[in-house]
Amino acid sequence: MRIRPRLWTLPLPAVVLLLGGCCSKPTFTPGFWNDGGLVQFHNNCYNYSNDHRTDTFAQPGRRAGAMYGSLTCAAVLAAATADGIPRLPAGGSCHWGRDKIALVVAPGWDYHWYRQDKNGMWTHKPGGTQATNLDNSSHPISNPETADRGPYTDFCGYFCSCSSATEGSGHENIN
Amino acid sequence: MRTSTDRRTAGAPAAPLFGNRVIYLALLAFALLAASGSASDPPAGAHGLTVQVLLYSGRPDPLFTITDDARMAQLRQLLGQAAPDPAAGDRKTVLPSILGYKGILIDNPGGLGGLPHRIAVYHGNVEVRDGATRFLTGGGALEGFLIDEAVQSKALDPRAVELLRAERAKLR
Repeated sequence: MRIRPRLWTLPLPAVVLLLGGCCSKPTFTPGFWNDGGLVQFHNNCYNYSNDHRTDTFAQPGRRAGAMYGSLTCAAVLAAATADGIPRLPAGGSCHWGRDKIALVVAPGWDYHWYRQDKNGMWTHKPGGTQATNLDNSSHPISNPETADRGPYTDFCGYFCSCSSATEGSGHENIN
Repeated sequence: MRTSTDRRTAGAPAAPLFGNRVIYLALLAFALLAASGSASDPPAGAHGLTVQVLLYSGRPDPLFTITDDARMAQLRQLLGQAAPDPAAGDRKTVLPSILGYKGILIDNPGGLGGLPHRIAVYHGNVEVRDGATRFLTGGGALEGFLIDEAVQSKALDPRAVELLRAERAKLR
């Protein structure tokens, strides 16, 4: 017989574990993504920032059936929100072990995501290329708002992602 | 006299039988979908070279194929113009992890045209994977040829064409 715990009888931390998995801030582990093959070329910035390998070149909103219709901050923000990733108000911080991720847009062209690792620095994976901790000027990224982002000129805002202690196994439902 | 309904009642219940059929059909549909591949997958490459222009970070990059023998022969000739790069050292790849144009990638799993299984080129630097990985220099003509092919392929939007033409001009 399968025993199902009644949520209201459990302590709050246990409920969080059961419902959302265990969020954990990621560490920069480029070797996981930079295999020069399947993982590298089939996972993009959205996969990397959410620390979730899907091998589908995940797109904001696709899992939820609400993919972005244009390449603007508003459209991609709405699509990521539809995927269930909570938006972080300006100046806010993420709780329950979630980590900050940031969205930028090259208007009418493309979007890009960064993630904040456990050490407070930011890393990213530009499309099918390797994950890196450097910006377009080869500088470590302490702030995605001021990093050299090439044509991705619009800074859109932050989200809180439920990453994992095991690289590539983040808990956000993306595809 | 027993009817078919009687037999069902006496034997295995109807619901699990129906459930098995649904599961079987679902598995069949899943297998067919998996075999057909997703929209973001590049073509299998059995009949041509899959060329991917690495431009985007979030969106899937544009793809096109080179299928005719003459172009493959031209590619082979241009690849032959590139020479081993003595400065490669412990380089891992020629494709830069930057935002914007990141080079061109050719996948050739069938080894068509006597070409390697994978070729990557960026700013004249070439990476060849065919079992082992080799790094070459002097691949500007190869990259220029691929940019021209990409522009003619109609796989690119006008902004991408403009960007690639700017990259092409840098190679001259």
